[in-house]
Amino acid sequence: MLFNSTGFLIFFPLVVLGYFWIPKKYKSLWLLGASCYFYASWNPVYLLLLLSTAFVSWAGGILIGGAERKQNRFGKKCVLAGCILWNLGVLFFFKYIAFLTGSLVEGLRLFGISVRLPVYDVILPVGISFYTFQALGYLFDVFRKEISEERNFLRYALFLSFFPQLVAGPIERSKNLMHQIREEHSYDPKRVKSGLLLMGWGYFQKLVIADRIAILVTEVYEHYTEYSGLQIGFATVLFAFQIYCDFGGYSDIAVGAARVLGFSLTKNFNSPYYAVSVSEFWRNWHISLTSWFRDYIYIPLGGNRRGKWKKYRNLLFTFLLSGLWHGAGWNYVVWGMLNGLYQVTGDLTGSFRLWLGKRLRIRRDCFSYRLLQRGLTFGFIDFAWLFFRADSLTAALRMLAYGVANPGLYTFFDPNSVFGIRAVALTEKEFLVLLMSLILLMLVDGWKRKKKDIREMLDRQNIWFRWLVYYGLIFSIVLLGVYGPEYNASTFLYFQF
Amino acid sequence: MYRRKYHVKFVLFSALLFAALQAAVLLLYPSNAIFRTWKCFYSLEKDKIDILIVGNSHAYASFDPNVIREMTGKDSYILSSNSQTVVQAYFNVKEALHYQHPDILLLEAFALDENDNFRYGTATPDRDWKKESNIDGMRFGLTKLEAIAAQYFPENWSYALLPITRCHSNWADIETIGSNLFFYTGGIRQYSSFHPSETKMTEETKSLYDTAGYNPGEKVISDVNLLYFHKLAQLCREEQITLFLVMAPMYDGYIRSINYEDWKGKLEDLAEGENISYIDCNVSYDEIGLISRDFEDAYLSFQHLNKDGADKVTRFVFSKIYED
Repeated sequence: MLFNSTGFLIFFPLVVLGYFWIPKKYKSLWLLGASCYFYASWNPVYLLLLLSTAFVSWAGGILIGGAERKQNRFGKKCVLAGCILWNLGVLFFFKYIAFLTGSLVEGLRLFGISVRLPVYDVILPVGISFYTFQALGYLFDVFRKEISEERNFLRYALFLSFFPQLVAGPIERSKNLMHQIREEHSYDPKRVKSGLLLMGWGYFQKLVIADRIAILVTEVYEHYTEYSGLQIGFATVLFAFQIYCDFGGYSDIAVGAARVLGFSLTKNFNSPYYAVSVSEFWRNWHISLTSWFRDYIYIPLGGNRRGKWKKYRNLLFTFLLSGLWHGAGWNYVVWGMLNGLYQVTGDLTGSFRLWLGKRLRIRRDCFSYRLLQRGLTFGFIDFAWLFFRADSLTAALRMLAYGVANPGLYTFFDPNSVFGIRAVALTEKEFLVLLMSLILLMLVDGWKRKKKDIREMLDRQNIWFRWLVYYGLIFSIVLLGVYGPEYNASTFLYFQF
Repeated sequence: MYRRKYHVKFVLFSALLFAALQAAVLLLYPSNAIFRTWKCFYSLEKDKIDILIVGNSHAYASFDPNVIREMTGKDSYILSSNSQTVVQAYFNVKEALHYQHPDILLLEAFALDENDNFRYGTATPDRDWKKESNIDGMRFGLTKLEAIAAQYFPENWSYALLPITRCHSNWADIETIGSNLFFYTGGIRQYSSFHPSETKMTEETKSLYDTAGYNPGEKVISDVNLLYFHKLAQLCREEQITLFLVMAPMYDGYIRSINYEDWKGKLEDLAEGENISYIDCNVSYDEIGLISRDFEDAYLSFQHLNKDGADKVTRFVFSKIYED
């Protein structure tokens, strides 16, 4: 079930009403049932896969806890290794086996060896990367004694399958979510309103911005030979906002939906395009995944405590894994590596840049410097997005080569069309809506970055103003949103991971 | 107290939102006839209508309520739309009966023509604006829900129920918004459910018809159309409404180009089976006094009458009905 489907608009109010209406002891069961229905509405068979992952990691947690009490360190490690093997094995089978066999065949062909490997044409279960990582995070936390194991399977299954964050995160930590599942959440209209407002903002990002940009980006990326380098670049700039609004919008809907029910989920984005460096960008982009990699991969590898070169090795390895997590394709690997390399290069050239800045008397404590830093950071990040968006590494490289060979200055500045891009993609009015929406997005992000609480700001206003904002938000979604029967219901981009 | 305040505000907010969404639909809905025809129908005084006419474009182009009133002193209303099938006609009549109770129902026979672009077709999607607009114009109620359930697959019910999902992207269409504004701020008072053509058939078009070849293809009445025709006849019996099946005239040059005898025979059998009167204007050309210039200027389509032709046909059909 998609958040932007009419099914969800019926499902969600029913779940909320039921949740606050039924007795406390059945609340978790109610949410678990709703979560299973939410997942099964996509593919009922894969619900079994989700539940089996839940069962294995739940049982693993209990065994690890038991081994810990018996001070059986070896047994504890064996159970953890077994659970990791199971979880990653399932993930590998569904997500990576086709990539691996394909790459192997292609690699051997380079050496003149032709082999035929079995083809596993399996559908990728929605959200498998998210719930697998959440389950692994729980096991690591139990192993490290950061939390005690959950003995109630229903509660644990709800932790793993909680519908707002089930298919595209945030990847919740057991330390944050598990205790909330045990607590009672009473009905609080103020909190419900706040959750609904956040959901509204999420829908705005998804339907008004991301899905509008998607029309143009898809047109340019699918027919890039009909466009110039500048136009491809322009589409890639817009894609940066598409993926942000798509995933950020989903996260806001997820956090808002959970808040309505009384749960507090991890904030997943924090004005990432205001970052002044790539490492800052990654601290503010997909925070739940970045912190997962930091806590369970980067730091256990040694983090930055074992010298410069090991730090760089750890960083590159972590980003390589992050790339692979996003997708089984070489373009994702390159995307991950590029982001790792940016940070390594940034670190390596840090003292030189400082020296150069001093020599050139560049002021660092002013708006123009920050603007330049933000512009450069965005440029680097956006260049990497090209690999992320392209269908394959070959396609990305071809696009790059084609774009450099055909910059197309004249067509880009053709006064008779919007950046020379076919009107079939977006009309001038659509562009105007997009531009205004992006300005609003960046304004809101700017306020967030300055730690301004927009909901609090709104609450201080008179009722007519608040309602005007609420109606404005609802009507922009309803009227300006890209949806409806003619619209090819686009799933959220991160569902594929 | 704190919660009650929130709940009162919530109810008020939702009511205003609902009203605003309704207004948005009225402003953004494509300006097609049946949506407006429904709006105008609901504004009529209760039980004012004596004669109700349903069917496709032949119905709204062939029968003039002013002429009917002049002839019989009775009020009539046309609830027809482009390509309306008997399925839609049935639900329109069912909905109309909540507000009006006519003595006579006239079904224009083209509504029984095979039209595959509806729910029961397999080759086309489960959407058609002609079907949608019949339902969109209806007020929310059991009949509307029944019409949706009968004509849409379940996965499309939400779209059928919420026209805003289909017309929201008209926000940039100033012409539609302007036209709707004009309609709801005054135009509704002058609105007529009769939509005659203003053009007349030219000699050039006439000659094209005269040279058209013969198409012996069989006219098929689908099972669905048959089913709903019988349901409509049953509804009329239950409500004590006299049902007439009327075939509007087609240009004789066109009739000669199709297998009309077959089509006519099927309709006669159908009417006889339900014990209702069948009036075929195509066999009474001379009696009606039709000439080529009584038809609109269109080539090789299901051509319609123009205003002059509608005047003649209305007089002929209603003299027959009241003669009976």
